[in-house]
Amino acid sequence: MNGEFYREATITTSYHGICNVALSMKNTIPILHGPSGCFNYEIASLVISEKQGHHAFTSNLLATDLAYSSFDNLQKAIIDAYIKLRPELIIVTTTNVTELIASEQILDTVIEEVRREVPIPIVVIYGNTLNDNMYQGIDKALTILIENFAKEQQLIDNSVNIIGPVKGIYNWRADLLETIRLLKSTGLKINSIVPAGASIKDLEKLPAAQLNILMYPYDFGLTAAAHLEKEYGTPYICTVPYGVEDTIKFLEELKEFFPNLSKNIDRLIEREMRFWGGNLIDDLDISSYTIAGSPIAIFGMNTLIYGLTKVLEEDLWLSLKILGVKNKENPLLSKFYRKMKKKGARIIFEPSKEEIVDVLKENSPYIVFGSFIEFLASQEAKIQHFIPVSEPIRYFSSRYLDAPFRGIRGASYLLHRIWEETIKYVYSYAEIGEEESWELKFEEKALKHLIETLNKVPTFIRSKVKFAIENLLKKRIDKTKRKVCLEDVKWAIKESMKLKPK
Amino acid sequence: MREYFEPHSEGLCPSFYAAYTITKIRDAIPYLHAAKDCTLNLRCHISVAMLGKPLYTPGTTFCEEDSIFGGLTKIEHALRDIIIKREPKLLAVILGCGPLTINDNVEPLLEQLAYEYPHVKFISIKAGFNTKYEVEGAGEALKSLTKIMNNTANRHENSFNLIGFTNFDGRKYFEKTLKPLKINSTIVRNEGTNIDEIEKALKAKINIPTHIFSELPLKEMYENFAVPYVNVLPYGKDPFKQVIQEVEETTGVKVGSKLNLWENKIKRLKEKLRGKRVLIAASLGREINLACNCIALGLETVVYTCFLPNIADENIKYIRENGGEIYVERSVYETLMKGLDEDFDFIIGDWIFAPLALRKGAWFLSRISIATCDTPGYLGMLRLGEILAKRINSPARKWKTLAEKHKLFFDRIFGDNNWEGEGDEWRVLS
Repeated sequence: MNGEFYREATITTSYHGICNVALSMKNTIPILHGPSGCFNYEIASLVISEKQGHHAFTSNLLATDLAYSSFDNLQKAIIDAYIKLRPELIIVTTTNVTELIASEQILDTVIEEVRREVPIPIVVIYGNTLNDNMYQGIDKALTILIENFAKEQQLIDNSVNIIGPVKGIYNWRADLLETIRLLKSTGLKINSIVPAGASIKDLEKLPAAQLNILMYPYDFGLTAAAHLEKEYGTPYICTVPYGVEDTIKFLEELKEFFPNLSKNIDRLIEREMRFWGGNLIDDLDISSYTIAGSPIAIFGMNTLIYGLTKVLEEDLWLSLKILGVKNKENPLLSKFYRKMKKKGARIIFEPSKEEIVDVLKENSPYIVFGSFIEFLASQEAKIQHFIPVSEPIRYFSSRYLDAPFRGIRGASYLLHRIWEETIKYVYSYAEIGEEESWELKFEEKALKHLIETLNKVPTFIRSKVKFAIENLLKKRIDKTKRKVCLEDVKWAIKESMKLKPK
Repeated sequence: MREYFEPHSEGLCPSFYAAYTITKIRDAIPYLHAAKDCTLNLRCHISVAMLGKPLYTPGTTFCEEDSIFGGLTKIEHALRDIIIKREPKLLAVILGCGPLTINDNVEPLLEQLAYEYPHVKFISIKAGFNTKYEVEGAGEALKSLTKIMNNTANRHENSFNLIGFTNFDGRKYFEKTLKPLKINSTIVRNEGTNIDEIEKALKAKINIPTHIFSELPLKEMYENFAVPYVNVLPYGKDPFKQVIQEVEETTGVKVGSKLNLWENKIKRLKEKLRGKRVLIAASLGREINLACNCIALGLETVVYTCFLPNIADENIKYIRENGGEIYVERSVYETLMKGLDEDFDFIIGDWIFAPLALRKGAWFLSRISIATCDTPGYLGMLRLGEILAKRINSPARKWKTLAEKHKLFFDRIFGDNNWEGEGDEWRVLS
């Protein structure tokens, strides 16, 4: 019931995505029409995760402003942003409060008046914050910007665009650099990268490329790429180079579009396999045989879930037990999710934080891959091993450039990262203490006995055993609400041993 | 000054301050009736502010439909469910901007629930964009807590309350310094305030504020229940002595016998820190507290803050009279611009000030590193002094020289959004 009426959300809303796109671009200022609190959350989270200064403008809405016209503030903010920072593009977006009081059309009309005074493009991207999430926000921003600025160009031979890298997405720099490295090694030219570091000129010259490559096709960028294909005939590819097979598939696919580079691509595949593939095999023979089949959980957007599954399951032989998709199911991945379900993985879409804690307690995976929220949840579920991979990034560092998840090199990096966690996992001696939180009330002796017993259980299945015993005790105590006595605990321990693994 | 626009305003959301205050109360759950990502943003910020303690901050799944019909049905189901599952003693419903815009009135619902669940206390806090300054969200939360205080005619002759955020050491220090007076209630404290403490708060003879946002609840308690309060914040030498004096005058009890316990130590620290400059733009309503302590340590202090209520008048006078500079500025961008032209030895502030500190070769203290520094009285001065004295010749100076020599300072402060300009280019080309 709780998911329907209340929840602890795990992904931010669309205005964050729109602001991320604007703040990723060169000389672009986002103006948030809303209260300063919303704006501060966006800026603070980017400053913390990107370790870089970001500045934007807000109309700084107060409750009293609603009674009068809040648009005066917005118009003045736009003019002042132009005078003070001289940007080449201004993006105006909204939060839930402004969406309650003004429709997209009204906002457009208001901005039209300012356009006469400010000689630079002002693009309005309506947030639809109450419904859309961050990824939808990025998608919307990319589409609107490309629709507004892309212009017919002369084709440049052997050139590609990269659509999708954006601030606020975990590891975007390292993943982008790895993609660029792969593409440049084949002899391809990068025409435009959008939106990271892009200017209006980069948006304009998008149609000059022969192919569009999408970084996160199952979450954002696809609508923009489809628009470019429809209007300018530029094709796009959705293959994401995660893991050995998909990286080769990605490079092979490039051959279809650039047959003149076939030899280069073949040579690159051979080189990548010999160097990074060889490196991976060297490590696999020690570490992967040890960790093979271990249950893990991944939380992130569709592209990441799909990509990491490829690496972790197919290349590193881990067993995926929980797939937590932060956004809605992408129809393009329906087949993949059905396949994973058949294999016994539990798939949850748009989970709340409470659901995540419950599912982690129940399944007790040995490593959780996720965002800052899942890190907190895994701490609550007493799972000590965590690798950050998704958003919201918050206090994790996402600036390290040598740690891509993509390419064969990415698989090699992930194997090392998992091995480090495995060592911590095997040699973990953490003990449950009296400060441990329990949902039930215990008699002193009963609690002491339970803690002693649980401390004998290896750490990697302790939370699962604890969860099973607690569930048994809950059923036994039921509505009586009495304290749990020693007998109850002894009974529950015996019963839990009879339980078969799911 | 709240202007019509701000590049990067410093204030967080008032709902954050309100929720943060409630998390400092034992067996209390802050329930956020606001747009769905408000809970997420709050949660991430509070988790860090609470240094990783597991928290439960549920919120309404407020969607478009609710913005038309109101979210009362959802909130009712949610609160009933939370009461059954979590058994809280206090449920604080914090109203965010969305419900405030559509005027979602939760009071009748809370009254009904209070009737059905007499063992649970219910309060509603109007946060969102209702308050003029963000930090007032905490004041609103403290003010709402006065509703669950039991009015009583019997006052303890020798007791006082601490209103605002107080850490363990601060509480113990007050206990020692204000002997023979005793602490009646601390609302709120880091270790968690008990509900009983809030209920019996009106028994105290005097209230002592610890932060600027304490003004709202203090006025409420004075106007409705005639509990007097000290009109100065207990930070810095002179203001702290003034607090002692006001307490003595109101209670008629002689206190402060152990006032000068660390006088000599502070003198030595003062010698060490003489002539050093500090920039404070800390937010969370602690700028004045920290600035008073810095002034007491003889530092040349520059403060940027947005909120200067009447309760801080004496402290502001103390800072200005002793050569400190206070500027009213809400914009981080403007603060950075001004900070760029001056030299500082220490910078205390939000994390966005760290690149500025590196550029200046100054030592940077974030909100987390100064968590124990805005302790009241001489203890606070001593704590802050010891931390700063250790960092006089900080390794940040070495980096400043190195970075200047090798031109490593990219425009991180203002973020020129050029990822290729951050040193990645050579990798791409290689």
